[in-house]
Amino acid sequence: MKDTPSQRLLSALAREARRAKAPDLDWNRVEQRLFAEIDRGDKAEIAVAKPSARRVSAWWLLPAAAAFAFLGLHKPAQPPAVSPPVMAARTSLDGDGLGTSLLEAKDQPLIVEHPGRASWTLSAHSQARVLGHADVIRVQLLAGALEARVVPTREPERFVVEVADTRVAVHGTVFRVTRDGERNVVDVEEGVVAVGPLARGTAAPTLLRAPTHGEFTLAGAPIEKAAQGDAEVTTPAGVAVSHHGKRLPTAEGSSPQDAPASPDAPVASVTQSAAPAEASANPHIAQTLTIGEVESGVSSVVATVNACFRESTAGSRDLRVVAHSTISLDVLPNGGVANVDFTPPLAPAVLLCSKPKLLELRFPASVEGAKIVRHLELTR
Amino acid sequence: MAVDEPVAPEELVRRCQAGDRAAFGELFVRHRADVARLVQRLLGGQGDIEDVVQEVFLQVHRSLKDFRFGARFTTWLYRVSVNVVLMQRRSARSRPKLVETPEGLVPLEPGLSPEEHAARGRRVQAFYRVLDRLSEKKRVAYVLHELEGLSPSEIAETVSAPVLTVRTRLFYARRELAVLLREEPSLAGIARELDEIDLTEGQPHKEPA
Repeated sequence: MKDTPSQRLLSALAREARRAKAPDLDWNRVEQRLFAEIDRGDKAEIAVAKPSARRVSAWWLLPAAAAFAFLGLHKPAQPPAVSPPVMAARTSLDGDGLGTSLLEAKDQPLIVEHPGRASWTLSAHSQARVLGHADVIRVQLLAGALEARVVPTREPERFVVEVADTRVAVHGTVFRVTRDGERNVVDVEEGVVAVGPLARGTAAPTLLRAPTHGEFTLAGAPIEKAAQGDAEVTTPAGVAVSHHGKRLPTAEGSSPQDAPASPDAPVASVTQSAAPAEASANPHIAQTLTIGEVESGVSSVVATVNACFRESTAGSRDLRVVAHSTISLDVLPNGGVANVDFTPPLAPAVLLCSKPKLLELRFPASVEGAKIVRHLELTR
Repeated sequence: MAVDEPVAPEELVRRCQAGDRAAFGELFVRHRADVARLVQRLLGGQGDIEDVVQEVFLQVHRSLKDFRFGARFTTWLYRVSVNVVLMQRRSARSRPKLVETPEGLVPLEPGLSPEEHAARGRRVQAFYRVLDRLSEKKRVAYVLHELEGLSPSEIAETVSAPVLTVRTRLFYARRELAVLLREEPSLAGIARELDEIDLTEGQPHKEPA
């Protein structure tokens, strides 16, 4: 039976309506709002008070120390204690929308997320205040502990924690800061952390490379425990505390009163491997890689893995594939790369593509070499 | 969550049910475009698509623990979407209507001139205006079948109704729409436009049975 004109018109209109593509929404905004709503629904026991009128001292004076790139502190005789904080806690807030609120986690930890930049977990029975979340996320820890995971970036000082008169500046890392009575404890799982006095210029910061553990006075001076004893000895600022109990200079020949570290400042090392004799004997080879050198190498690593991931991962216009993995690579004293590992492992095709290229990367030579651990987010 | 290989849909749902936040994020990414398209078609240009899509996934998050794999996840997702849209439409009746824009219903496609895009927008706008005059049940059945390409049995599962009932709704929906089109004043001009356009090419969705 032949269709009537109305039926033909209806069919034609339906075809046109079918042709219309899915609406192009702001998916980041939708996702952000969705997860914020989900978190609110979890009924976390948190109290968000009005921001205090008291201004925190002189954050604007802090140096934009790109040098403090990676952080990495660990507790000595403990397994990697800094678990992914986001997964550990049960509720989260949008940190970029918090203003300068006072946050209090009561019986449960509280997650604060800054999408694409960092997430941090305020432990139960802890208090913190977000001081700023524009270019630099700045958090004041008032009581208790917080753990943070900061997305690696080349931008300096993406995340700063202030504890009493101590500042902990990070670039891309996983770390934990605890205010414990008259001391501040910093544990870093990945990267390098700079810990020092809040006031600029009073003392050089202590640079610590993961995995290690550091304890500091409320004024930001490191506290070193005696290797065998229980007594605590306060060391001059500018001395790093490794988890082996060694005291390592933060910069060759630098005094505690030196200017804040620059991106090229050497990092106090806790590298496990002993330096080869020939490297130690060469006076032209630096003791450790600088932050700038490590960052430059990491950028190449990230670019290489990303390119292989895009190349080897099937996808379509409407499908986004995201993979998370932690890369660990050893930089030899001669600058070569050894032992590239991904945890969890990436797809075989991505590994086949990226590993040979990573093993060909060259870092500057250094006496100690380096171990680099980074969390990667790969997107296709 | 590491996603070396695409996670199977069932496994992804199980991870969500176990409270895996990253898995729910992945679920959202996989299905958001389909949900948005369905929401847009069911809303017919009324209401805020973003809000409704967000509400759909919020409901999914709340109810996913009750999903027992008795049906395909996508069918269950469609059911949630339909219910959320109907709730939204009912609550919106007491609120002032926003004037829908053709651009909202017909995203700009490459290759279409601005004039063609505007003309298509007007036609689709008129189509949804007519569609909006159907009863809820008929409109849902029509949209799921004619626009989303679901079979009557899939629709029956989605709306929890017998297949025969769905077929009946489809029959009456088409008949009523044909009548309503004649009563739509703007469609006289649209009919002339249609004569000038080849509408036989490009059908992104399967033809309904």
